[in-house]
This record gives sequence, C-alpha cells and structure tokens, in this order.
Amino acid sequence: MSLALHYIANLLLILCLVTSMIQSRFLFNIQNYNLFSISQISAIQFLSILVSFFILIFLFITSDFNFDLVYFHSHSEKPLIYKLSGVWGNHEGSMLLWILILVLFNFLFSLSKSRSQKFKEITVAVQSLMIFGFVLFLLLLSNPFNINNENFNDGLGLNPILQDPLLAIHPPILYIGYVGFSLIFSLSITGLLTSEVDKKWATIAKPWVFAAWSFLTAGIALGSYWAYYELGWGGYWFWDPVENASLMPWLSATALIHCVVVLQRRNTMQSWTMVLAILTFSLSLAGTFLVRSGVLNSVHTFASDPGRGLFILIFLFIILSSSFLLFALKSEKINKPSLHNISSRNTGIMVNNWLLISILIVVFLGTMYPLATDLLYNQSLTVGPQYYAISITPIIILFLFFMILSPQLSWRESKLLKILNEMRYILISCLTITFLTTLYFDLFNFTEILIIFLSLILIISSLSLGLNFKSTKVIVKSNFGQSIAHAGFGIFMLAVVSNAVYSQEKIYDAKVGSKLQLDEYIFDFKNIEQEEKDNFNSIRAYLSLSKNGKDLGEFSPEIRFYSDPPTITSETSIIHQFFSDVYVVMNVPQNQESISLRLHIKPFMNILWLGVIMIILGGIITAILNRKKYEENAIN
Amino acid sequence: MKFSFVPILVCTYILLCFSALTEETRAINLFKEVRCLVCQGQTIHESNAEIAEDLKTLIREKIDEGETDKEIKGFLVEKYGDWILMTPPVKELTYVLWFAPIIIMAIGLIVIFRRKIAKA
Repeated sequence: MSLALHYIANLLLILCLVTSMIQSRFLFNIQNYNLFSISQISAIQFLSILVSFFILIFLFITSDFNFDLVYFHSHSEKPLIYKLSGVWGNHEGSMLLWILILVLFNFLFSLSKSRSQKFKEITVAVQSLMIFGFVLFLLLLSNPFNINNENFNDGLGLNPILQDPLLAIHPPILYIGYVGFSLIFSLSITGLLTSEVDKKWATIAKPWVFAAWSFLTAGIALGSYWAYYELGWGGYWFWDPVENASLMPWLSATALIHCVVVLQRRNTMQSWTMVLAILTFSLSLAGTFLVRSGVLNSVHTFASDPGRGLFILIFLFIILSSSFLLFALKSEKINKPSLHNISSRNTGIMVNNWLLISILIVVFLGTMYPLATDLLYNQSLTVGPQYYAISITPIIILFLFFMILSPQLSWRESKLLKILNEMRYILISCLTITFLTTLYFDLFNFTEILIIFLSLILIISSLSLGLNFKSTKVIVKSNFGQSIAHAGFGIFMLAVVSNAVYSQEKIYDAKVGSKLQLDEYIFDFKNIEQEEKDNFNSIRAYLSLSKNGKDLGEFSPEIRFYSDPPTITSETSIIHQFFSDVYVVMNVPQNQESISLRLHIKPFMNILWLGVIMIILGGIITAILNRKKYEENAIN
Repeated sequence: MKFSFVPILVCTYILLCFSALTEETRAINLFKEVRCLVCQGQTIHESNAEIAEDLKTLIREKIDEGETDKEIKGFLVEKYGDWILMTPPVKELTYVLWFAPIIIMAIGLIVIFRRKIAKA
C-alpha cells in the first residue's frame, strides 16, 4: 500500500513536470504541438499536484509512518485537525502546498479571458517554467513521499507551538498571497516580452494583484493575531525577522496595486510598475527562503534547513537577473511619455509609492544589518522595535498626509487651496475631536497627537469619498473598495498609536487567594489545577476579573507540557472588551509557593483588528468590482 | 482668527511634556532597553530568566546610587557589547542603518517633484 502510494505520488509529480515542459514551449517558439489546448494541459498540471497533495493528506490522516515526512512530523495521538495542519507544518509539505497554489493560479488564469491568445500562451509558459523549477526541486531535494524501511510504531510529533487552529489556516492563506504574485510576475514578463504594458495590461492584472494582496494582508494579519494570543508577549507585532520577511513583500505589493491603478487610468508609470512586480515576487520568494533557511534568529525557525535555502537563493538569483536584464532591454519600448501637473493624483501616488519603499528600506536594513555587521565586522547588534518606531514614524506622518491629499486631487490638475476649502469642515471637526480626546486622555506627545489627527481626517475623508450621502439614502460609489481600505488604515493607525500609549502591564508573584490589581481592574486569584489531556499535561490557573465591583469574567491561563516532542508552551487567557483587552499570561512555575503571572491591559485591540479587516475587505471589493469591467474590456 | 487657539494649545502641550519621571518608571524604561542575554528577542523586562533578574537588580542598584541612564547603559555596553541594547547606538558602524532610509527617502522625493515641475 505504502509503496504503491509512493510510486503513484512520484509519477504524478513527474506528470506535472512533463506537462509544465510542454506548457513552456511557447517561450521557445515551438508551436507544432496542438493535441490539447492550454487550459486542458493546465488542468492536468493542476490535477496531478492536487491528487498528490490529497495523497499526502491521506498519509497524515492514516498516520502511515512508513513515510519519513509523516514519521518526523506527526503522531498517532494527535487530534485530526493537527494531523491535517502537519501536512504543511514542515518543509516538504509546505513546498507541495506552495506548488499546488502555483498550479492553481496557472489553471485559473488559463481559463480566464485575456487580451490575446499569444498573451495568454506566453504568460502560462512563464508560469509553467517556474512550476517546472519548483517541481524539480521537490522531486530531487525535498521529496515529501520518501519512504523508509523501518517499522516505526509512532511518529515524532509536531512542534506543539504549531498546534493551533489559526496556524492551520495561516500558512495556506499567506502562501496564496505570496504565490499570487508569481502570476503578476509572469504577466509582467509577458508584458515586457511583447512590449505591451498599457491600460489593457493593467486591466487584466488588476483583479489578480488585488486578490493576491488581500490574501497576503490576511495571511500576515492571521500570523499577527496568532502571535498576539499564543506567544504571550503582550504584543501583536515584534519586528521579528520572519514577520519582517512577510511585511517587505506586502509594502512593495501595496505600492504595486496603486501603480496598477495609475497604469489603468492614465497609461503611465509602466517601468516602475514592472520593477515593483518583479520586486514583490522576489521578496515573496525571499520570504519563503528566510522562513525555511534558519539564517535569521526567530521564533519561526521550526522548519529550517540551510541546504534547501540554497536552491531558493539560486532560483531567486536566476529570476532577478533574467527579469532585470529583460527589463533593461525593453524598458525604453514600454514607456510612454507622461504629461501631468505637479498637483495631480499621479504625483500623490508616486510620493506614497516612494514612502512605502522607504519603509521597506527601513525594514530591510533593520532585518539585515545585524547579520551584515556580524559577518563583516564581527560585531553583534540588536535592532529592536524602537529602531523601527523611530525610523518609520516620520515617514508614516508624511504618508498619512499624502494619503489624505491624493484621493482629493484629480488625475489632471487641482488647486490645493480649493481642496483645503472643500475639506474645511472635516479639518475643523477632526481638530476639535483631537483636542478633546487629548485633554480627556492626558495625551501630550506631539507626534502621537499629529498621527491621531491625521488618522481621523483620513478615516472621515476616505469614507466620504466612497459614500455619497443623499438626503434619504446612501449611495455606494465605485471606489468603495479604496475608500474602505483607506479608512481601515486610518482606524488601524489610530489603534496602533493609542495602544502604544495606553498599554499597561505588571508582573506579580501571586499566591492562591490573593487579589492583584492593575489600573482599575482587580484580579482575584482563585485556584490552580493540574490536568491531563490527550497529548499534553497542563497547569491551569483560575482568576476572576472585576472592575469597580462589576464582574467581567474568568481567566484560565495555562502552561502545557507536551511529551512528543517534549516542549513547554504558555497559553494566554484574554478577556475581550469593546475598548480594551485584558490579558493574563502564566510563567513556568519556578517554586511551589507562588506563581508568576503577567497582567496586561491592551486598549483598542478590537479596533486595530477592525481596521485590518477593513483593509482586507477593501482589497477584496476592488478585486471583485473590477471583474465586470475587466470582462468587458478584455473582449474589446 | 478662527485658529488662534492652535498656538496656545501647542504651547500647553509642550509645557506638559516635561513632567518628571519617577525612579520606578526610569527603571522600567531601562529594562525595556536591555536585551535578555539568554532568550530570543526579549527584553529583560519581559523575561524572568535568572540572568535577567540579576541585571534588573543591578540596574535598580545603579539608579539608587544616582547614576544617570546614560552611565548605566554605558556600563552595560562596556561589559556585554552593543548587542545588549535593544536599540543600536548611533555611531560609525550604524550610520547606514540610521540615516540611509531618510536620505533615500529625501532623494526620491526631490526627484519626483523636480521631474514633475520640469514637465508641467
């Protein structure tokens, strides 16, 4: 049985390899093969990987320890959902998932309407060439279907920190985002090869790029939410190298989606759009590489293997060098002369593009600098959150300013004074709100006040741009996606700043029966219990929370001791309220008498997540709303 | 005249910013600046490892002895290297880290605005 599955899965991978070779023939001008259409071959590519992925899932569910991958990363006593997430909780499985999404995008694109048969052929060919590279890598260097000849009774288990429902869906979502940009990359290469980077190109690329961006955003947000409640450090973003590795493609992708819009509307910024498309995909690949390589110290180095990182580095090098060479040869041809005024929406978007790239440079330097000084000068440095806060704050202030201004400007030319006049009510009301809130909350830091003020204007002005308030009804305009995403960003920034200012924490060595206090909250430490569960033992503390004599709920933070593999994890306990989260973490007990508890008050967390959800929704809405126009344009 | 309250507001804010720091907040601010030597990416404030506790006691003692934040950080850097500080100090080795982003940003913005003006 195991042997048969081993052969079937490998044959399927080889089938995908062969079909990908056939698909990439268009790049080499071989046209005399017409047995199947492009979409039919893409379907074979997709199905072969899909079936082999299902085989891998089947192996994990049935705990077939004859397979190395299952033996190393699963355990028969694990709950079903974690057997399932174990499929992509390791290097080989996640590579297969990566390839599955790659062929899925290829398949979906081959079904969609495109500007011409040739355009579609070349795009699918570029995409298939990448599929070929990755499947070859999978077969030769990290085959998930390797079998062993021993008879193992049980597996070694999955890292317990990964045994979490959110983490079961975080990698697939993030990967859809990362890999989605492979299609944008293929589209760009096709555009460069055929010298057809224009309005039509943008119309074809737009839904894909917005969809990929929304998934990437959602993936990062899920990871962040997971870190918030699982790691128990009381934060949602740690500027950890792996988090940064996903933030970098996001920043570049955010610049890219705006460029695609400009290209679609004004037929300008061709070169810059191409650069961003190539950059975004390269950073996505590098993101995968960083997570997998273990080059960087991080909480994520659970699936590390330096040898395989080398392949991704080589792949990255080939992609970067060939695509930039192509770009250098073709950029003259695709660029159209652009004529527009200084105070136009173009300028605003260009400025914010550059500001996003500046933030990207901050994140890049912060992540790579300690490595560089260590290698070159043998001096260790720590680049903590403070560096990012100091460096990004001035950029963010400018960014918010242009984010408010740009949508108010027309594409051609606008008078700044006129805009100021139109916005006077919004400005005055926001100034008043800011003034009152700062007085009420005793907030006296100028930078924070400025960010709050700008965020407020951003929220109100964005919403008023996307919605048309008539006397009786509200009309949703076609740029509703943009409006909701921008307002979401304003809400997000508002929450980030207020959270940073008003977070409180305290560490207690507490005994059962004692009452702990933080701000106006009283924590009544009631009990402590030991429990035995399916795959771990736990110590659980019980506390009840009250404020001004009102009961608000129960905490039950927990320490878990897993046996396979032996690991200790700390489970946080959070009470969500509308304006603030109250958060309790238990530290590993050092002695019998008391237990060290860390209490946090995290204000505005719900509002922060609301902002993020609005940003994601905005992206999805734009991807879908664009669809109709796209179909019409593609036919013409 | 409509906005005459703005400068008054700004002045009030700035005055109130200079509120005195107590010793305990000074200590906690310092804890957040110092990296825990044995754990990954945590400050001694977040960590309850033994070495982190020792460092906390040390910093508290130094504050009691009347040393300034700068002196305490200087002592730690001398003993453990720059690595101990969560935020890298501004010096020759870190010029690129601290100033490159702002310079690159400025150059880019100048290019954008100059090009546009030339074409307008």
